[in-house]
Amino acid sequence: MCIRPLTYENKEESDYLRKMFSPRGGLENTVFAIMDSGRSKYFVQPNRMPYFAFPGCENDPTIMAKGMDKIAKPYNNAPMPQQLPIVKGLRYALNVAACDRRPVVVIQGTEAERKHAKEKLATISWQDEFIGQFVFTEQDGPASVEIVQPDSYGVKGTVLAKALSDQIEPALKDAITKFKTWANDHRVHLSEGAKNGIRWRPAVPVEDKQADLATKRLWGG
Amino acid sequence: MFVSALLLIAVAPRPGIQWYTDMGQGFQVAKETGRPILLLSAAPQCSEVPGDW
Repeated sequence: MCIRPLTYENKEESDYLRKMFSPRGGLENTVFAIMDSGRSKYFVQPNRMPYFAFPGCENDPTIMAKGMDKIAKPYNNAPMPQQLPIVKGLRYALNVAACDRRPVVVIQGTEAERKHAKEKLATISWQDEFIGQFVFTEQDGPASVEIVQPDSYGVKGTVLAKALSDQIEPALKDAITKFKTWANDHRVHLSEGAKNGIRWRPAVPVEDKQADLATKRLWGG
Repeated sequence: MFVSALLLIAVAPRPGIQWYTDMGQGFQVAKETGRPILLLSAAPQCSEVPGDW
């Protein structure tokens, strides 16, 4: 199973990641590792990126896939996860969805209504057709499930489809057909973002010196 | 290079990757299922511009 914490957005998680891997003292932008479910044993030692563990995978992803298959083989019959992965907060969910170029599923309602919707979505979301196609979040509000197209900066969104939790599967299919992905030129994305003042202040100070320098170059100061 | 390598994982072709973003939830699910954990942290901003890893 895959966990992708957001670097510099949660102090507790940053502390954990820093303990795992901080060769230059500070927390780097990315940390990669593969470990057992109890976190007592590493199958792949913590490092900055997958290509340190699977050399050549940046050009040939099958190298990484083969290595991971070997690690995963003894666990092929392990039960599937039952929980829907939730990104805490719409602001984060929109941003993550923009980074991944995926729609956001916003689950609204009382706690009980959201629980019902999440259980329903958890079953659906692990099907081959839907797996990894959405980012999920929840918030208070009138009971509904809205599927939202993020803008390319993940700061705004437009509703693609809406349903009550009992009719969610057709709405997900509808949203997949309506969703418009986009090509991203990284340099243009940064320069246009800075020009338009679209700035994301991380919740925890950035400790990666290279990243910090790049930020200062882009925004000045 | 970092970005392109990250995209190999972050923007996978169908079927995609169902990422747990919340570390606590992810660790709990790993414990429940006994499945190994692939962990890759990523900042949802580059030079403080959101919308790109």
